[in-house]
Amino acid sequence: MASESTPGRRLGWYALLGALSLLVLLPVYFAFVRAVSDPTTILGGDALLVPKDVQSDVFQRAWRNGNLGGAMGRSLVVTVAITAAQVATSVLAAYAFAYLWFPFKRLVFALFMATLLLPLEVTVLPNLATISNLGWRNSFQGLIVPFLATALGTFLIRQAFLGVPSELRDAARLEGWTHWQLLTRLVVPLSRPVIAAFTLISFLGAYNQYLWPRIVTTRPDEWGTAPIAVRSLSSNPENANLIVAGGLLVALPMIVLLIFFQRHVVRGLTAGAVKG
Amino acid sequence: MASVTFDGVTKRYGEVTAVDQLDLHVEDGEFMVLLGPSGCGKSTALRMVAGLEDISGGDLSIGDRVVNSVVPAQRDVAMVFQSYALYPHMTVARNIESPLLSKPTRVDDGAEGEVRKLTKAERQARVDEAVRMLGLADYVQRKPGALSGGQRQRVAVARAVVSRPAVFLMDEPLSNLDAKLRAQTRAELIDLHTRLGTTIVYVTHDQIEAMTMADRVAILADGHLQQVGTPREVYEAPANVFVAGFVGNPPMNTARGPAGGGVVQIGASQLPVADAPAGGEVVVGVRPEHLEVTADGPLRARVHHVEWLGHEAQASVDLVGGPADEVGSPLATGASPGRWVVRLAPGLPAPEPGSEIALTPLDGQVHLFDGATGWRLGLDGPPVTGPGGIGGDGAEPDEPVGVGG
Amino acid sequence: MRRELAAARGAKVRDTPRWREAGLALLFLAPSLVVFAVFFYYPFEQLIVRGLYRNNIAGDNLRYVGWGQYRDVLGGDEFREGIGHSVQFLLLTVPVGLLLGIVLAVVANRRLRGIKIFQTIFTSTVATSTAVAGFIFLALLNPSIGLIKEPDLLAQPDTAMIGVALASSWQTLGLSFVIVLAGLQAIPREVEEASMLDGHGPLRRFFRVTLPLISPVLMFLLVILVVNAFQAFAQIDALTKPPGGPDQATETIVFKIFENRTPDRLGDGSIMSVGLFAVTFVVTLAQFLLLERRVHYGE
Repeated sequence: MASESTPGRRLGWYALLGALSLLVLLPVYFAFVRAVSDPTTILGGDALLVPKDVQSDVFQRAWRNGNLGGAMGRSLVVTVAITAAQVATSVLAAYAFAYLWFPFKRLVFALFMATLLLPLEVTVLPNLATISNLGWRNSFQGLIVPFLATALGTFLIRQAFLGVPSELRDAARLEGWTHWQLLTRLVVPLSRPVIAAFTLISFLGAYNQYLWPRIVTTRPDEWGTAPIAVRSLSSNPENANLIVAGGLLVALPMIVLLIFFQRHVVRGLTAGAVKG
Repeated sequence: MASVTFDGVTKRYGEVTAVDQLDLHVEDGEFMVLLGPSGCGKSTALRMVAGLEDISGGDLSIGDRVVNSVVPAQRDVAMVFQSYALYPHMTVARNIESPLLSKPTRVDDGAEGEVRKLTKAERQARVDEAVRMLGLADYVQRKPGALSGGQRQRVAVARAVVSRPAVFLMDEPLSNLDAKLRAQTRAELIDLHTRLGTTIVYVTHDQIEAMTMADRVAILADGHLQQVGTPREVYEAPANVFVAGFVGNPPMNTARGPAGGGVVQIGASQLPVADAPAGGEVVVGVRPEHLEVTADGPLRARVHHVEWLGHEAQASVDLVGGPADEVGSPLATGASPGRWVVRLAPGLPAPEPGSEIALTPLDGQVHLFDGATGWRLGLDGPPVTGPGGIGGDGAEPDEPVGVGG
Repeated sequence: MRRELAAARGAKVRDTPRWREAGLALLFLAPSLVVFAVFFYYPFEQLIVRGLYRNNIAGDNLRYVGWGQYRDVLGGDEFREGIGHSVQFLLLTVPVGLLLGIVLAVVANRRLRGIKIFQTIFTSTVATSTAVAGFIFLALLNPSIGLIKEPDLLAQPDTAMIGVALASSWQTLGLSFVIVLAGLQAIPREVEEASMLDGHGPLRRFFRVTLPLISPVLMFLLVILVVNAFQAFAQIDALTKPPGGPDQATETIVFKIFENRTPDRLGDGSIMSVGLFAVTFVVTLAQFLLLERRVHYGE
């Protein structure tokens, strides 16, 4: 808008944005400094603002020691599977809530939403027993199956579906479309932004999972996912920089993904749930 | 009250020029309509007056003041948006009061030109006045969500009126109303203008609105000014082929053909035209109501179909001799090439579809435009007409050329 | 004939009979329902039931004790402490989260060249998991190698919670930002322009126009932040040594539950889980009821 136009004001906004960005990125920067510096020099002394006694191979060491490559590969498989499944189940459930009639709809919806109120940490023990009994510890199924569905996706995507103009659906009904056709050829394409946003959210959540993989696998070197591999890097302060380096490495793919899809997340959320 | 002056105003978005060197002067108290098809730059021009868009070049003045870098709130203008832009969470009363809360307003009984923030009592009085003027008394405590489109529109107008600005800006305010409501609201707006006498700059693509409401109309296409004049001037003496085809419903019939020897060759017909140029291509324009079906006229045409509208009948005819092609320039009328519309005199039997008829244009009602540029012969840009136009000398527009003997 | 006409008059137009539709709905809901049943509701039932039993440390003496145990545990110190710490955590992170989200979104919601870069930077914290954020803040707060060594936040019982809250707030600011930004961008531009023409200064415009119009979004964010706060675990586990903080100062309810997972304490842990569910449910419900009225929903 016109008010942004005077160069003085523009500069002011850039300055503010820059300052806030620095604040946001500060922790990451310091983590990087820590990761890269020789831990023994820090142990004694003072706060470091720039890397000192750089151990440039810290990232390689973290990678090798934790077998991060293998762990990230496993993480990738698990994450993709979980995301795909969550999107699929959420889309189907959202369609049912948005467009189909069935009895006790409100109750079922409440049952769905209630699953968001208890954290994984709490249901973890019975779930562990279930998975154990199925013999699925140390397996992909064990890591994936409990997360095949989520009520958050149902909620967001249902909102998006409800926003599709009813005239479009009326026109399709007149032409005799089946529900499946409506779903795949009309409603889903029109809700792409929200579905994309949810896909990203789901992906991030699945990749960053810690507790469940930790508990379900008894052989972390074979079956550990990325966050676990990082944790196992070390437990004493002398090598704390390894953990931090590992953490940064593991977060990197997600940051890259985010850079590319951030726009979609915003657009998706604008079109979707936040309309109330 | 104030005038609005565009002096070479240009608006560029990167590579695209939305408004190109606009020269336009809106008189103090005038109802000026900016008319044109979508994308012609009229809304952009309006938003520049409001201060919602930056000006890329030229000077924009409100009254004597150049306002290029003046903040919208300080320009003494009020705007009615196409979407009304009411605050959905406030009642009608609060919506209307809104401009008075922060802006210094011209005071009624104060010293001449005194401008300050109004007291609560004064604000209430103004709001009541606006409510009365727009017939909103029954709705003051409601929120916009509970109002119909027409009611919301009136709230938007009330909000604009309440601060008694020097200029009202209106961006297609009637386009979201149904036809009947539109006609009624048109009358109400004209009434408002008469009562308040404020300068109004009004944007629309609907030429009926322009014709019925405007003191003067400024027609824009592709960011360029085509013509400025009273509705009558614009209708009776269009400055170029675009204006000819845009104003008037049904639009003016046009056809192109070579000129020479006192006639213009249109399809298979030869139309004698006074003051026809010695050579070159021209575009001939005749309005449907200026064509007579005669036993023996210079234009031969075959009747395609006849439309009966109740108060009159119109015949769509094809000029004999093939489509006199209208090239796809923005100055073309856009009507089917070679297909003309003829207003039939009531009472006479309508011709049969398929039959061949002869047409005679009325005396003095044949317009000639340059075949290459589309401008009326003798012009090469928007004519300088209207009192006090920039550089204007109050000259009368050229008389349309008449039919030769 | 008359009956058919009467039936025709009263019938609704339907492509498929009602029950066919319900059947299809069931089919579409089934995958989610199955997963929820097995991995949420079954465990939940297990938790409720387990709360009625006691066991010994070896796990071989399971005996029924009844609902009295519920009364004991939910009224007991451990549960109250856990919830208390969770509420502390909530009070430290939720208002901050809302404020940060609003400030960042308002600043970043303008048409400037390169604004997307800043928006991405502000969003980026969501890319880190709570555990990794913990690692990162280790670099800042850990007494041995951290930056903020003085005061040693994580070592003092009084300030340990602040350290944890700091890490958590940083990690969720990306989410808060994105949600509020989406809400801001949903405000029709013409309403903002009308406000400009009305002469509203930026402050007035923010409080009288912008804020009311994003209130549904803010409520949505509030619910998310509150539920998140009650479920906090990973960042505490990652940051505090010993885990749970000095004097157990950062042991939120989930932490307590987690500690009570040995067979002899599982009954307590299960009951506290059920208690957590109830608390979260009531709080969320209360939020909806109390704030729904004050939130403005457009048209």
